[in-house]
Amino acid sequence: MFSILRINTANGDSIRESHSSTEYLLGGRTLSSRLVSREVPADCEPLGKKNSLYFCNGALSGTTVSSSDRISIGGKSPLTGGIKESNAGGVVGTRMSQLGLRAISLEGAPARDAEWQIFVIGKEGVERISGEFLAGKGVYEKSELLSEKFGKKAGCITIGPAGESLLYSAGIACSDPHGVCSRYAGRGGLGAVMASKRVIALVLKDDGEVKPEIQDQDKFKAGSRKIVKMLKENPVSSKFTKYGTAAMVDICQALKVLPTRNFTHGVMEGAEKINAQTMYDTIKERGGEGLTQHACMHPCAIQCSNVYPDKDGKLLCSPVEYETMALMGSNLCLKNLDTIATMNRIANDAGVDTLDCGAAIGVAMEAGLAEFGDNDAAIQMMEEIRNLTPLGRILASGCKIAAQVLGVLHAPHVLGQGVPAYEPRGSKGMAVTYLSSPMGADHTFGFTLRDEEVPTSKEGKVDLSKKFQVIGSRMDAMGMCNFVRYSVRDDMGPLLDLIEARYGAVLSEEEFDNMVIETLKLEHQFNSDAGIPASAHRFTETFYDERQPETGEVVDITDEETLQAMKW
Amino acid sequence: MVTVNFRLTEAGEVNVELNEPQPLATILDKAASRAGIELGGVIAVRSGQAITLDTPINDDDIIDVFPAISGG
Ligand code: SF4
Repeated sequence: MFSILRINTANGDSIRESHSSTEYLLGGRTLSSRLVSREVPADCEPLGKKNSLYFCNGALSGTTVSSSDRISIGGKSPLTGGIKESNAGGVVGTRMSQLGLRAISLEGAPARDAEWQIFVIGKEGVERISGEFLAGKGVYEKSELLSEKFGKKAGCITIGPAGESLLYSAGIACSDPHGVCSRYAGRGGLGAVMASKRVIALVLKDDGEVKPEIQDQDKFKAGSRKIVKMLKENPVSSKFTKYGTAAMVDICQALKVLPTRNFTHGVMEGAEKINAQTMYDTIKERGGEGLTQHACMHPCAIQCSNVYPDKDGKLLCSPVEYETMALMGSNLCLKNLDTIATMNRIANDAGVDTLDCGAAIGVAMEAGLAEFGDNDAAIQMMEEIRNLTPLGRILASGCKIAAQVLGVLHAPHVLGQGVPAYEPRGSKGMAVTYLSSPMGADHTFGFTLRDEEVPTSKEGKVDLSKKFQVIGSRMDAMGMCNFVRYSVRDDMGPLLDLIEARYGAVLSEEEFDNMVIETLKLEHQFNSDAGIPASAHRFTETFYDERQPETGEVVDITDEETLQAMKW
Repeated sequence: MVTVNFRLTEAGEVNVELNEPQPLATILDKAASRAGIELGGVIAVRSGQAITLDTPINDDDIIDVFPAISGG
């Protein structure tokens, strides 16, 4: 049996329910998207009391299986107006398992002027305490205060000042293994949804005593070892170990899809100044607290994360990932890793998504508010966000709103969510993925780039995107880290064997994929019921009209092709 | 002579002799065995264009080969 803890945020009451269905067994996005579909009225206001927020760990959470402790956070997104699943690493999933929880829901909402509240969940039950002492503080300070009060090992979930102010690019920050809330479910504005319930933090105490029940210990141990071996031997996942996701800078530059100058180019002169090798060398050279390898959760055999130090070797930001390096780096023509790490740190502190804010700053630079390549101005714009100035609030509302306010036509978004770090005109597979995702532009939804023989051609890309929509969604579907997918993309057997060894439940690859596809259908249905028209699944017209100089390409994906990519 | 540049690996630059055009797959096999590395999925780029495993490679071509990593 699996438990969901339902918290009524209006009166602080909570109840535990037990379930035994496959959706609860798999957890992750399988569960979060079903709960949203079933329980949240599709046409509700995202920041109103009818929306709910769900936190779900996955099928292998709390065990010895590498990279199996991500949590999926689901709700209706204020940024896209549709369904949202955003996931994060860290230790929260483990703490939920130790407290016997598969899911937590935050339901209802108190009066708008109610005081900030924290729900503290431990083995003795749920306690509601005042969260006023956290109000207005940055996420780093909040992390320290939460650690002081509940210990560094508690699993904490919090929001930054941007979330408190109900801004649409506000994310939800989760504790890393050091007690710092730096692992973000950044996308879709779910931080604002949490704030709309006047919940400033959730704390999962480190007093849980529930051990994973495992039906077949020997088979489970062997299966767990097999996953580690596969991850270590896989030439792709093992690359993450040395360079992390930063390796994509060189690859995207070579393929001419590195977002540059507010997505008007796909190549940045001097990109090597912010590439993986430079980052690796800088971290090694500075030493101190810097780490080229780091795990966001335990255990993780890949350890793609890093700790980027300042000039004195003190932690500046952890992690700094490719998506941020592109959206807050090349997209703004910035060639300085220290600037990118500083902006990333401010974003983490303000509690905003680095992609959506990077895209919004690109739009602001195009509007003439600052020069592309101006390091100080870019950092200053992030400070405006942290300080919640009028401009900062506009930027933290995402690039669609920023473009409307600032009069910019070339706004890189789909459904209001900023386009991630692969220029869609140079990769038609990624264009199809961005257009057809129920989450708005999302690269993890169906990552085609590495499998596109001719990235600039749209031939076969609907099918390719759909293939990777399933492969990519499999990991989210059961709370695994996305980077495990390289090792199981052709054979999910090792993970399904682990599920069988743990629960005694036999799930064939076909049955599992059917659950994944069913999730996609439910997500699309929710959006349709929410009133999102097919015509919203488009880029701004400029992507169809203006050629990307380096490839000579425009987006040529038709509405019909987008619909095909959404049809299951 | 074809130059294969294995980017983001210790292998670095490897040269492969060529008498007549051969598919990229053949060139990569030779270059990888010379460098003593195992190739997983790769993205290959010649003169700024992505090329496929059956693309004919000519003498004097320079090919950048990246491990096919993707973002997360
Ligand atoms: S591979 Fe990276 S993101 Fe995934 S679990 Fe490990 S450290 Fe976290």
